Amino acid sequence: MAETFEKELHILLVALPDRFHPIIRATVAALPSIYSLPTVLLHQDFGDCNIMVQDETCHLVGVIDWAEAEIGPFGTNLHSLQDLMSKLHMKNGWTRYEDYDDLVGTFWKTLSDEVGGLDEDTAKAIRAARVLGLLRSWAFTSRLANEPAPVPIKDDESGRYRMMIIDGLLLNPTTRFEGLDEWLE
Amino acid sequence: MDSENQKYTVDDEIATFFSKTAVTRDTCDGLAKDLVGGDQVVPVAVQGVCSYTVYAGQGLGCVVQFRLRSLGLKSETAALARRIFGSLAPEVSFRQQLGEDSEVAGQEPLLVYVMNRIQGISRLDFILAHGFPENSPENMARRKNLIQDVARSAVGFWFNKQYNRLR
Repeated sequence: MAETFEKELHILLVALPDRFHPIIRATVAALPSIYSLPTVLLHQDFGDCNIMVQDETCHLVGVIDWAEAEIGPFGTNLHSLQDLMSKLHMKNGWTRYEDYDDLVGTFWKTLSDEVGGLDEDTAKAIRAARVLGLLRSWAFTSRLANEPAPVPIKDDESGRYRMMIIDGLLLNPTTRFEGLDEWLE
Repeated sequence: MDSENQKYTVDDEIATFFSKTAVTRDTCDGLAKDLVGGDQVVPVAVQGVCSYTVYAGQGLGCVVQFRLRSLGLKSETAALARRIFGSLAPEVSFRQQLGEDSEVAGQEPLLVYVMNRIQGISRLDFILAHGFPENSPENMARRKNLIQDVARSAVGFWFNKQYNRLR
């Protein structure tokens, strides 16, 4: 697993446009801290069709379609939560809901309360794991088992949608993950 | 998207799926009834191109899924999800293969799975039904409910002892 992640990040370092290089290098540097996180079962298709909620309240009732689930470091599928706090338009990219900051705060506070406190190093490792997961999911073509091996997306029409997603979450200052500035310093 | 278009899309997805196998939709629907009883078979609203999924059984309380053999479910993964998430994940059981191994390129046999139906509605349907206006106090409260629940369930698998024993 560790080797795969490192290999994939190095592939992206060659294939993705220069603007992504600082963040990919930072992710490579963070790999040891990511491996120190608990190993968990990761749902890899945590989308609107697979999240089941209660009518009216929107409380979580269940999650379906575990076909693509895999075992890996905690946090490497957290990029999926962006869909719960903002919306993605096919052409215009991400728009945050007005309560975005509150939702981000609620997520981290709930996580921290439940584990009895998250120290800053662990929180940092989780944020790095989130970037790693985003790059593995969206900077490569589809990972379905019966399709050709995934290759890095291109900065052209075929890769436009995926590129828009990672640009929005890694580079665009108005929509990117919180905490990246400190991380990249 | 209006309902006519949506229907067209689902039928289209189903047709695409059945172009990849020699097994027919009627055979699948018939088997679904045989496996879980009941006299109704209703395709779920969103179909993947690699599987055909229906509600069936008493009160449509079961899910029967037909998957291309190249995309079979790993039974360990499904069992692990169930152990870690409890009722948040469906209980999945593999039943049988449908169709023979074929020489014809692009025609696969299907693997048949039965699972319990998770109650509630998909978040997609929730947003279509209640999602607007997006930034109303109600919708902010609903988003907060969901993000809290997801954060708690995330912690659930972080600390899962059963799983840690398997590491």
